[in-house]
Amino acid sequence: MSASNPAQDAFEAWKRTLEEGTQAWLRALGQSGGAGPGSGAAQASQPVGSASGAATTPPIDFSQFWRPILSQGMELWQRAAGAQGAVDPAFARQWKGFLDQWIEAWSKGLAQAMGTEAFAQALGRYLDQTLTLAGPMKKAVDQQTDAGLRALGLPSRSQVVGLATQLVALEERVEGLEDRLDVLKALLTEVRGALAEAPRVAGRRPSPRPASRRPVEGS
Amino acid sequence: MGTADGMTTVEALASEWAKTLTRALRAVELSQAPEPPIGQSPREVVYRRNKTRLYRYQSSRTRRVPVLFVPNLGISRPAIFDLQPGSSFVEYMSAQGYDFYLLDWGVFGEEDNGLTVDECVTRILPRVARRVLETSGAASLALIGYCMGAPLSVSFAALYPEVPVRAYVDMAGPIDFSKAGLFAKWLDPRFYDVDRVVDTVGAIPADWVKLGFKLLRPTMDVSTALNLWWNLDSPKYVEGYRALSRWANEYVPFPAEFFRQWVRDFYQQNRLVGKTLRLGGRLVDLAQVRCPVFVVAGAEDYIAPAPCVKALLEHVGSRDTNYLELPGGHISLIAGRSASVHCWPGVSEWLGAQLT
Repeated sequence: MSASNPAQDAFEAWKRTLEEGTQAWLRALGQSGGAGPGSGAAQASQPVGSASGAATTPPIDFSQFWRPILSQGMELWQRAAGAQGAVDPAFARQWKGFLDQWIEAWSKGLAQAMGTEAFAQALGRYLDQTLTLAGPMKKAVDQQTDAGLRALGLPSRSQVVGLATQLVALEERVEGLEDRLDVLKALLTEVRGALAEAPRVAGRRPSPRPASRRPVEGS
Repeated sequence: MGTADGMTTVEALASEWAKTLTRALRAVELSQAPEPPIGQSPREVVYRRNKTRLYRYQSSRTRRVPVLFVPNLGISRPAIFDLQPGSSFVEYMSAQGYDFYLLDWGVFGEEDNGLTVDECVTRILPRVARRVLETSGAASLALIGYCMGAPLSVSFAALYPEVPVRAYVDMAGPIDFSKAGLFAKWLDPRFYDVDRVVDTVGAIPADWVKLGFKLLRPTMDVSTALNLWWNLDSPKYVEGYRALSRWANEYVPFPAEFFRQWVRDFYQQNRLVGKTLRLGGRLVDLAQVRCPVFVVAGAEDYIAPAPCVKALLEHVGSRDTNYLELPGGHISLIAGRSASVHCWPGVSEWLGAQLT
């Protein structure tokens, strides 16, 4: 293993393992009689019915489909890992960091695109089209549903909603009455307080003297 | 040469392979696990109106002034504020001794299509505030508005200066909708006919709401899934993910008329900061808000960008204002480790200083 870049060595080791595993798989397919018919990737075949009993058709190389993509991905990853300077052998953290940056880049790009007037306009147009379709459809579905429920003798959605609306209005009126009662209660409390205060105030004033029974002069 | 941990490359490969197998097993377990419970803090219902509920949470209530938390209406359920034990804004504030009230607007149906922003601000919020004062026995209250709850609650505070609001906190609440980011662009009246949308579909379905938010960050699901994969061997991470995922998939519909008014008056015409918003027939003037105000925004919030939230400071009549901008997005102010370390203590400390 190279002492300078163990992460790269790990990638190489993984690639080698993958290659060897693929070859082993292909060999196993070859030993079991080869792949099914119709394969466009089939190479030159051996004569049919050979005495050895070995695979009469060459194994199909499925890896040609995913190998280029995998190699490209691995190269990109290696470049990203190398570009970070001192390579951290904890490649899982590197990979997570790479993904986070990739998502953040996408997020910023999308936010910029969605912040444009053109996007808002397109969104508005899409909504208009949806409403144009949704409006008549909703009306038709509601009408059919109402008709069906009526035929079954069941209350329709609009009837139930109407009843609920009436209950809400009733609750509001009861609350209004409660509010007025609270106001009256507050007034009564104030009046009671004023009345309770009044005798005390009256008690402090000298009481008016009753008319004295003075003898009338000359009697 | 070995790894930083002293392993050879082959050992590192083997270790990674073992982790991959563990993650695969955990993924299978996760797919079969039941939904985790969320919103578990003990509470009682102190007010109910149609679908709306006012919850009062258990607390030592060492701080006399109660706190009323007003979240967004529609979009999502309020379980995000009480996600899990140890990861709950409600639990945190209750543990700090606050008498904490949460307004749950509820999940509205077709029968609520007539619900308007007017009704929310001029009928529901006054009653809720009154109930908070009655049940707490306090002479004043503090208000916290989160997301859409902020423009609703600050409009209420502006319209009813006689309501004794001692302090106001805006957490990630959009105020100046000219700076509201992608939503403001997509809801531009040249491209988005809100009247046609509402007249055609009525209440905005939960799926449409979900689609709108997913479109803001299309790569979010991919990065979430990747992060989950890389952390599948961490039980704590998985538990947190499951709870958040459960909340994140529970979108709720918008009542029709509320949505019409919300889009038209706030996003399209920006009436709140334009001083042309009329609710209940009265003009909403943010200068009437004179209590101390604290604004918290997320630097990477793409739902309510920081400039959109910070704008509240320019319009209130308060002289005592504070601003805190934290790294993170819309949700990271209210849930997650960063919130519990930076945002919640900041809000609690500021409120504590105002309510003594």
